[in-house]
Amino acid sequence: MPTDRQVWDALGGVTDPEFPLSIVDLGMVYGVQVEATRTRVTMTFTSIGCPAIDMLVADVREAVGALPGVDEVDVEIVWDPPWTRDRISDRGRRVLAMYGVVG
Amino acid sequence: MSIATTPAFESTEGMSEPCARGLRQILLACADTKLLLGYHYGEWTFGTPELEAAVASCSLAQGELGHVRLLHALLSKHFGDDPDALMDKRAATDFANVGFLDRTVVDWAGFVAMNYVVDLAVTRVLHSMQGSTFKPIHMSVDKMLDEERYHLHHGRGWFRTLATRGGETKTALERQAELALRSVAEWLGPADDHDDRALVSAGVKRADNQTIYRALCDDVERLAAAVGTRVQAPAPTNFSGWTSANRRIGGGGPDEEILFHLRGTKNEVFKLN
Repeated sequence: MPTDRQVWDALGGVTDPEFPLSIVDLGMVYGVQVEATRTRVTMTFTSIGCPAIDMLVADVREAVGALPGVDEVDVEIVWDPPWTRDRISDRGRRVLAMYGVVG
Repeated sequence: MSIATTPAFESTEGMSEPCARGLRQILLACADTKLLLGYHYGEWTFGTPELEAAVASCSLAQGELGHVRLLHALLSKHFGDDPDALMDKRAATDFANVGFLDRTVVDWAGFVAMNYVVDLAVTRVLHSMQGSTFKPIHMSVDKMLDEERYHLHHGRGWFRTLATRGGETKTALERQAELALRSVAEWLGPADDHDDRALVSAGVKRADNQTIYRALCDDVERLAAAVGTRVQAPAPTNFSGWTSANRRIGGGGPDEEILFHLRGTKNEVFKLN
């Protein structure tokens, strides 16, 4: 059974297709819950009309599912609280500033 | 009735029949209108007065279609609706969208009326569900409203621009805005809509549709007056023949050609499932 930290680290390798950042640095992951061989990831998206939702959910399943001891990955998509730019991590802000996206 | 003092609903279980029926109808009405908004915005990705507006139309379409996806998921989970069937299997007369969107939006004045008046009407309905006792919508509506701020900003901006040009531009805008407002009045329905009242009583909605319509008219009339134009559209007084399923006094629905393109009928063979 993986630790929460291992799951967060795996999610840190899932990159948003639009920005050069992980979904963790973008603040899209709201929580992880590990129960025996089953892991639940609660996450949101920057917009409801995001065309990459299916792709990112598949990436999350693949990244977390590759951890030893994980048989099942549930991805719960939520819209509350709504995602805002305030959720971007300090590291994420530094990266986006380099690209001129967020000052 | 205060929303805070009424019980919360995790699902339709425990709701009165009129309330559950009214909830499905208003969610479907919003989804259908957003679907048609998405279609028309998409159509206007080209042919706009300036390239910036084309980019905006594309983004508006993406936003609306995302909201359709979310509303269809709610309809599927809580009412057993099949999202594919909602798109592909219904007759035109089963669509509950604002009638203004039934036909091709032929000019930019029509686009601006759609973007400002029709889009705002749906947003006002969703706004009335902020803090709703129906928790699934309560948990999604803030994000939708947040995204709709940009739609309204765009619609209002273009309304101001066209109105201040005067002449034929202003006249065309007034005409289209009045048509849109009348259509919205029809969509929101009569004052004695029993199901709508049930939604307000149960705290699923904060305001009834008549209150929403008056607030919308206030918004449009205030902006129109501020830019030296006038938009007046008395609501219909006779709603005979109106049903919450179709939301039009005289029946009807989107043009078959619009549905053909919207559904992707000619690409049916390429569908994934």
